[in-house]
Amino acid sequence: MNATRRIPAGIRASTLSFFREPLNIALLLILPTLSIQIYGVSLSQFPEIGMFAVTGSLTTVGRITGAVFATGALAGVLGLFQMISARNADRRLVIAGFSPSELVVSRFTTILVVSLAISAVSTVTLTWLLPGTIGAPFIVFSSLALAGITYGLLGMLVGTILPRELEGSLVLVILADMDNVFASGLFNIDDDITQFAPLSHPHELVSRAVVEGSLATDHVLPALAFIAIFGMLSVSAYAYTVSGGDA
Amino acid sequence: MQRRITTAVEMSVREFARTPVLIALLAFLPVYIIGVFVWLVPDATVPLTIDGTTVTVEMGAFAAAFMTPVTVAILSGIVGLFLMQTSQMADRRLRLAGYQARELVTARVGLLTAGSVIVTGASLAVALFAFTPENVVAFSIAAVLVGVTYGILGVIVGIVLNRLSGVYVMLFAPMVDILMFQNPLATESPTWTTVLPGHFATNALMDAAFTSGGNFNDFLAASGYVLVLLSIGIILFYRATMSD
Repeated sequence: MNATRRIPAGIRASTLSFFREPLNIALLLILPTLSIQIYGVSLSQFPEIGMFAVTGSLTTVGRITGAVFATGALAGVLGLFQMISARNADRRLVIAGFSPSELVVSRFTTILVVSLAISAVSTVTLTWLLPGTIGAPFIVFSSLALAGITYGLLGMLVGTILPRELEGSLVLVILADMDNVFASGLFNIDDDITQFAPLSHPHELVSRAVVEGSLATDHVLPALAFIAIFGMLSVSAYAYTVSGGDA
Repeated sequence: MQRRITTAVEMSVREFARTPVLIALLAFLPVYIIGVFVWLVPDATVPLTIDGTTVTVEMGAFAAAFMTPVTVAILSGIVGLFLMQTSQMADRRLRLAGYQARELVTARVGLLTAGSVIVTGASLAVALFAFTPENVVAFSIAAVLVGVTYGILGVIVGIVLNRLSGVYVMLFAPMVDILMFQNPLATESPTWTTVLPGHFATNALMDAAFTSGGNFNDFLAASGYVLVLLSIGIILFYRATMSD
């Protein structure tokens, strides 16, 4: 089998293994919706007296935060489990002639497909919960997809470096939770620090698209830079691992 | 029977001890979460509503106190989830070797409690380094209650869902429950948030941190919550272990 047939076969196999579980599909649909609604409700319980470093409706900020968090975290956990569960199988596939780049492309494509699905669910939910206030739905969708891809790659990286489910999950859950707090813009944290939070740029892109209907051009490049960095790191680490580099 | 339970717990503890990365993470992550918050919050005071009373506290002290139950809940929940997932195979073999369900339940509850105490201890060490609660003992007990509550919830989620779905749920649950809905900065919390798992223990913890401490009713309700969850967990564990 040549590479042009092996890559689609790998993508199909790993995508189907995710979508074969009805619970995964149910959570994929439910969790983003729930997250957006709950974050909106939870922030609306705080008094709007300048307690948080945001302007405008706290409910809207909460819903945007919930959408970015759900998209990033779900894709991240999937990336982590993709790498851990496939580790031994991938080693055998490398021995059978697959190249590490073919395998990593198939894993990444699955994460991309799921990220796009979560982004679509989140965008529809935001449009439904914030009727008439979403300025640029396509930018919202694209920016959420950036959050998903960023965390999907980060999950792949964590899963490659720390290939144990408990330890990997702990690291990823804490990273996602803390990143979400930094990215939310709720707290008066210096931009010099928050710019290093991977979700901060997709969050700003989504916020600007929802509230002003415009593209936050100054955040596009940093968001893509995170994807490039995590992509390079995860591919390098993965290639090293499946080639038997870590014994 | 006593010896068999001790052996089961001992084996699990040994397995736990053989994972230095996990132990390092459980020690480091509380430092990261609580420490970063204490470091980042502005040097200001903040009004908190605790048991209907408004108290003004330093932002750093608030961050240290409030991030303690958040940290404990996240870590205990994930540990509880994987404790259940990883012990299922061993439990099946132990059952074949003649172990009774109550022996396995006792061993797993013992291990879960030990895990929650370790996680809570690490978080408390960081929190107490950053500030001094009004009532240290009550603060510590409340933190352990949060840990045990979420540890058992993790076990229940681990029985009901698979690993991927379980991590999804335990990723959201503590953040939403404690960080969002039990936040004493909030003034208009919906009534239904009082039935969430973290409500009573977090109330007790914040009370112990910033007022005279020791609202007995909150401790009682939090302990009752733990017992109810434990009963549900034991039933589900029993069914899962005995039905295979």
